[in-house]
Amino acid sequence: MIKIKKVSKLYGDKKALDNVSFEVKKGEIFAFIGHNGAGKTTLIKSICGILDFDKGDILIDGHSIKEEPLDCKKKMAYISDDPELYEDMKAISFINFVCDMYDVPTEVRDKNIKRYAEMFGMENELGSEIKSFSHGMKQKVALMAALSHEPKILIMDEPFVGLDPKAIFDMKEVMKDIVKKGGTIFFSTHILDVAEKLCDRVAIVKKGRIVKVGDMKEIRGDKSLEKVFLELEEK
Amino acid sequence: MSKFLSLLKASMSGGIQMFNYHGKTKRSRWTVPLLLAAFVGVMMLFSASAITAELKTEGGESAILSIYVLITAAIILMEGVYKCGDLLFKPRDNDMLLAMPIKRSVIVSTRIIKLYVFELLYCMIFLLPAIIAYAINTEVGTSFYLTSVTMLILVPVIPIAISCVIGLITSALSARFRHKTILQVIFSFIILFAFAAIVLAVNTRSDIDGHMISMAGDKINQFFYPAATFVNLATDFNIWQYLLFVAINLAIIVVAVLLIGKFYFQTINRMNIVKRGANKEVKYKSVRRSQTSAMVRKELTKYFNTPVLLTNTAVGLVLFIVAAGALCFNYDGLVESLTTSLENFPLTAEEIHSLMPSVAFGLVAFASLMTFITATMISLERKSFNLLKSMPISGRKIIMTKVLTAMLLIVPVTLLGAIVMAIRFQFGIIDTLLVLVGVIALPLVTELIGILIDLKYARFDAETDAVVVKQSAGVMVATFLGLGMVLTTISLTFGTVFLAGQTVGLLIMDAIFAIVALFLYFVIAARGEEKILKLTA
Repeated sequence: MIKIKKVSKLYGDKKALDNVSFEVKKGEIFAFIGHNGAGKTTLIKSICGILDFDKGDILIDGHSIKEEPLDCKKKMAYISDDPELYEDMKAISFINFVCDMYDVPTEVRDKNIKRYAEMFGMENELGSEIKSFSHGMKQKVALMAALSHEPKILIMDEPFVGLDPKAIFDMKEVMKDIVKKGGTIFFSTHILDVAEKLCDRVAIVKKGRIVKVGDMKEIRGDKSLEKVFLELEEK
Repeated sequence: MSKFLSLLKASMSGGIQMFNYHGKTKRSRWTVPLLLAAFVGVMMLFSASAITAELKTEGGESAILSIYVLITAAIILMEGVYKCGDLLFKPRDNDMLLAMPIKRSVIVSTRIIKLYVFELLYCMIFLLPAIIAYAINTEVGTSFYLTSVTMLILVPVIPIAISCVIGLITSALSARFRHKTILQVIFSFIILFAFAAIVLAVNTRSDIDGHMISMAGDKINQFFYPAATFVNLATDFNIWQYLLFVAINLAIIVVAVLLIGKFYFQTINRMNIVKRGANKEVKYKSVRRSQTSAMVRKELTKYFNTPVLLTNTAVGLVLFIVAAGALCFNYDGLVESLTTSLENFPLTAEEIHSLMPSVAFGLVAFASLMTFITATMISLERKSFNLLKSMPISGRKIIMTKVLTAMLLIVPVTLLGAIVMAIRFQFGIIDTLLVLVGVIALPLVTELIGILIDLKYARFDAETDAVVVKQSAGVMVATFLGLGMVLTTISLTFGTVFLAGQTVGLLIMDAIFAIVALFLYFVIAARGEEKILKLTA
């Protein structure tokens, strides 16, 4: 579903991504883990067409993000680690704005907005301006907007940051539900525990290079993911 | 003291980041904005030299200093009124600084100093040319240079202190209400118009005759202390008067810092409270919109919720309404005062009436070319620009919806004004159509240039919206370019009208702007997508 082919990205002289290649298959929950500054956000932004990259290509469901960006973006939803939304809008207006961008039919969006508002306990908040929300509430609005257009691929940068325990639980359930329906999820995280329990496969990135990629069994062996990660970091 | 200096250093380094856009080299980033500033400064020098030479024949050359001190102070005051509320109370580092063991007055003083340093630019552009013109045209001693340097440094102090206090009052007042934004805009405009009314009242009382500039200088000296002091010190230097002036300015700024510091915490607290309306049950019945329509709605929401952008871009349109209204409703009085009070006025009342389509075109040009709404619209996206880029909307559509939004804000005002003027002064059909083409073509060129400026100078890390709208390299370029374009377009319009006749003249101007708009559109169509892709928040 997502094919990353020898992608490199330079920030001046610094290599943020160095010949990164791996594939995320349809119906997978795939976690991308690494320490701060390892290149996680750069790769996520490159996949979403936010950031240009210097070498290689990224294919979304067979389409190149460089050559056919709009076709790729129609299939994806992106949730940033820092949900900077349009703060002057009401939550419901923002979600509808996102749906308009993805040309979502009214009956589909109405059904989805209602469903996710109930799931995240936001029914009474949708009529308020986003600037009045806490970080966690903004994250929920971003998530609701992303899910309302039923993306085939959900790409999230540190999705659990700032969410309360109930919202984290709900989020995990939503992720499982999406993959059950044939969707694909790619996310970066620092929370190794969540990655270990939730993901089908994991890639570990260090200084812009993929140092390990595979399913959870391959990566971990007999150890915990945390231990494997820390050992790789020390090398 | 060390805390103050450390905070000031951190704060100023953020201010210098205004040139931290996606330029090639550090030097090239400064080149265009500073060249444009220098160009405006040179234009000011020519005009100040011409006025000083004229004044010298009547022995009143010191009036140039009074006039330019007032102009500089007025510009700084008006600029300050718009942005003080945001710059003082809304920076993102407020929470971090308030949590630290730093006195509030220290925080306030660093914010004011940062504002002051930027305002010094206006002194360099407007006051320095007048000082040079005065020094060239009269014999000045060493004390004049000391006085001039002191004036260049201290002229911004009083207007900044006043605008900071006004910023405090408007922020504190509007923070009490749910719709803070619109109230902040209304309060800013009330204060602006009150100031304009006072200046007009002073001008009305002065009997304008052949010595009008010299007389205006005397009038200014009567009510504006810095202007009077400058003239006194320039003509007859007195060390005690000099020291008193420095002391008074220092005292004013200290009082302003203490006053704002006293109410700083509670004002920020009030401003941070976003009062939510009563929870209304949301009806899950959406309206499906096209991407263009949804984007325009989003842009309009942002525009009407950003007071500093609204006030900054509404000035040209408000002045247009005032001027068009004055012409329509007090035409006879204006013509009479022009033809009788100004000796050697080259036109008769009939000739002025026949030129009204050109006047209407000139007014539309002024309103449109002064209103660079798009020059900050990309930067104001901030981090949400990444979200927008992740959506299936083309870069070209993002750009064009911003231009369309700006057009929707400008055109109804200028269109209405032009139609009212066409009816009031009974323009011919061809002349009316030519003015109406200008109503579309002029803002289109402005906004296409504006968006290209923002694509070039965009930055997404500004502390507040006021920094984007008032203190960014893009806005500097847009402002100076706008001034140049207004002067060039109006001169060119009347030049072609006098040379080729009104209809042909307006046709030529329309053709020029239509061709430029088409060219800019093709530039954006060809390179907009690539430029958008290169920008990342």
